[in-house]
Amino acid sequence: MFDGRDPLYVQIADQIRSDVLTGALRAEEQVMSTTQYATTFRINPATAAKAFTELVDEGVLYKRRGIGMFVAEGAREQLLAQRRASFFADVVEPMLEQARVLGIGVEEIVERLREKEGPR
Amino acid sequence: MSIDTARLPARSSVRATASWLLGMNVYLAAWFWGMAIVVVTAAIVVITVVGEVNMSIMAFARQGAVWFPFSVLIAITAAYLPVHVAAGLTRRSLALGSLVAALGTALAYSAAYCGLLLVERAVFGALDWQWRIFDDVPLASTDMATMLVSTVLLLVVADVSGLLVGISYQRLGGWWGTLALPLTAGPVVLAFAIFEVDAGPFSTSEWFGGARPLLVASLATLLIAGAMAFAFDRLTRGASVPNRTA
Amino acid sequence: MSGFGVEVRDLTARYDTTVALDAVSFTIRPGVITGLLGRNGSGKTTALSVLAAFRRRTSGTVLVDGEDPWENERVLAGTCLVRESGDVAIDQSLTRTLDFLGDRRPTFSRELADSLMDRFELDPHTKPNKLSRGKRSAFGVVVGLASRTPLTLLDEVHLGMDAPSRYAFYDVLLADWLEHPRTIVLSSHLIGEVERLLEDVVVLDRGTVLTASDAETLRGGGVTVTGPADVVAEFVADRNVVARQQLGRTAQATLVGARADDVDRARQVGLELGPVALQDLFVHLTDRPAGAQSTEESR
Repeated sequence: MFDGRDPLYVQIADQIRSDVLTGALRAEEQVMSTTQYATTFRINPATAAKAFTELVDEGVLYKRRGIGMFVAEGAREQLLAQRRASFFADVVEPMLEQARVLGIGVEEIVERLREKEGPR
Repeated sequence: MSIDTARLPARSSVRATASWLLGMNVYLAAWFWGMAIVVVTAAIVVITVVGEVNMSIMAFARQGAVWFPFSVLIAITAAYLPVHVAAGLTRRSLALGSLVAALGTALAYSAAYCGLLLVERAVFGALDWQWRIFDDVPLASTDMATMLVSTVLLLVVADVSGLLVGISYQRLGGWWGTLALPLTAGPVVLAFAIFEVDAGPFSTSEWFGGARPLLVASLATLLIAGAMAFAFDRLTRGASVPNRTA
Repeated sequence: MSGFGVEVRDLTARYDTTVALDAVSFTIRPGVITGLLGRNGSGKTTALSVLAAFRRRTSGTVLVDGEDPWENERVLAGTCLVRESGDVAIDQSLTRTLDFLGDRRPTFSRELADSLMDRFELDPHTKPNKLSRGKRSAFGVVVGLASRTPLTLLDEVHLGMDAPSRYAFYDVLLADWLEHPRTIVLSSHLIGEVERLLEDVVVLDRGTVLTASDAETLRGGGVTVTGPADVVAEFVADRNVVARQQLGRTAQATLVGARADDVDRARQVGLELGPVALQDLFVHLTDRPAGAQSTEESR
């Protein structure tokens, strides 16, 4: 875990975000402390703290003084909205670029997508 | 802060250092004197077989009692500096602790030497053998108190010299350390001469018209020891821990 | 107490004629795990030796917890430097050395020492000169961590250890540091494994400070730019390029000093940006042919 090329704190923040998105972490649920992160993943707690700061700024987590970090109410909805907004820029557009290079038409792609999705 | 505490190391770390070093030296001294007793006894037995015992044999252990702790202290100084500094202690406490240990070592060896001489004299007396000291220590041969004082002083010079030789090699390296030997180890030879009667210009027994020769010799030796202790202290306080590659 | 801070200004250290450190300045924050990184001979050991008063500086200012460490009883009692060579009595059993340290060091924890001895499978009755390199390094770690000094300097101690022992070392280091916060400096020329433990980084190169910052900033400052060679060349013009690679018409340049608008600009011209691992960044920064002093682009 956490061996990608992105900075560690980015990877930690991404992990928490995806846990919130998938529902593995629910609203008002406590996340691991920086100390737990440090000992579990053999990292400096400051790195985990930096990920937490980013997530607090985004409104995904909030801090209860003296207790720890918790998932904010509505964090999942907020992340979903963000991911939806960036879905086309991050996933669809690069795919179209790749399709253009390979000479695959938009119709062909749409057809395949319908096939995969199956009849509704 | 009203007292300049940065100048004076805590007494406890000096005491701990001194007792640690002294402990090591006393341990080695026990071995040394154990061996000496065996060798001297064997020598006496051999002499009684081939001839007649007519002088103290133990007296010849004096040279060993001077040079053995001298060489031990050379080695200890070189080996102990990194351990001491790495344990978070100052060089001041090392210098003072080493000097106290050298003094203690000199006292221990002198006490053992004179004690064994007394034992030997008693044994010789019981066996009706002649007991006298045949050696180059005429100042000391008169009575045991003089013997004790002169031995202590000679050993103090030798032991401080051992420390000084050790730190000189550490600070100056092999070449300069060896070239400095006349200054660092030379005083031991000088101290031997001071307690002799016919050592030419060094015979303190002839200074000041020969009045109170032991006092004059003692003061001269103390002066030498003091100067060497000062040099050792200075050199130790500036010493780097060498980059030893184990 | 969370640990001693360190302030070094214009520190120069010379051995005879060689200059080991040339007017070096950096700070080490109290209570933080800092990496002192640099290639062999970059001056790491000399710098640590001056901080721990193992050797004297030639000139400059060194303040440990606000005071000059040289012959400073309080500061020295709170400082522990463990070098690879150990600096323990080689003719004494490990347990006697621990007795000695327990007696001399006010902060020493014999309890931690004993548990670490078990963890690293060290026989307390052997002598250091009978140990393998790895075990000797492990004993250095025992001494360094059990001393629990406000300033603990570990000079390449982990290099001789095998992988399981190194991971055990990282675990106990973090665990004990979390329980007893203090300033720890790890020096190394191998960064990969220790990178995650570090909050701050000081990089030395040929006796000077190449860079000093927190690890994330340093890492974030490096970026790779990949794409068509001419577009990459245009993108990185006037930038601090530390490495270039070309494969056919595709080029990759490694930059130091990322800018806020890099992501947008790269997207506009169709270039791909990527992160640089600290180890790679370090290699690029320190691996420069002799004579090429400028960090600016030099083709």
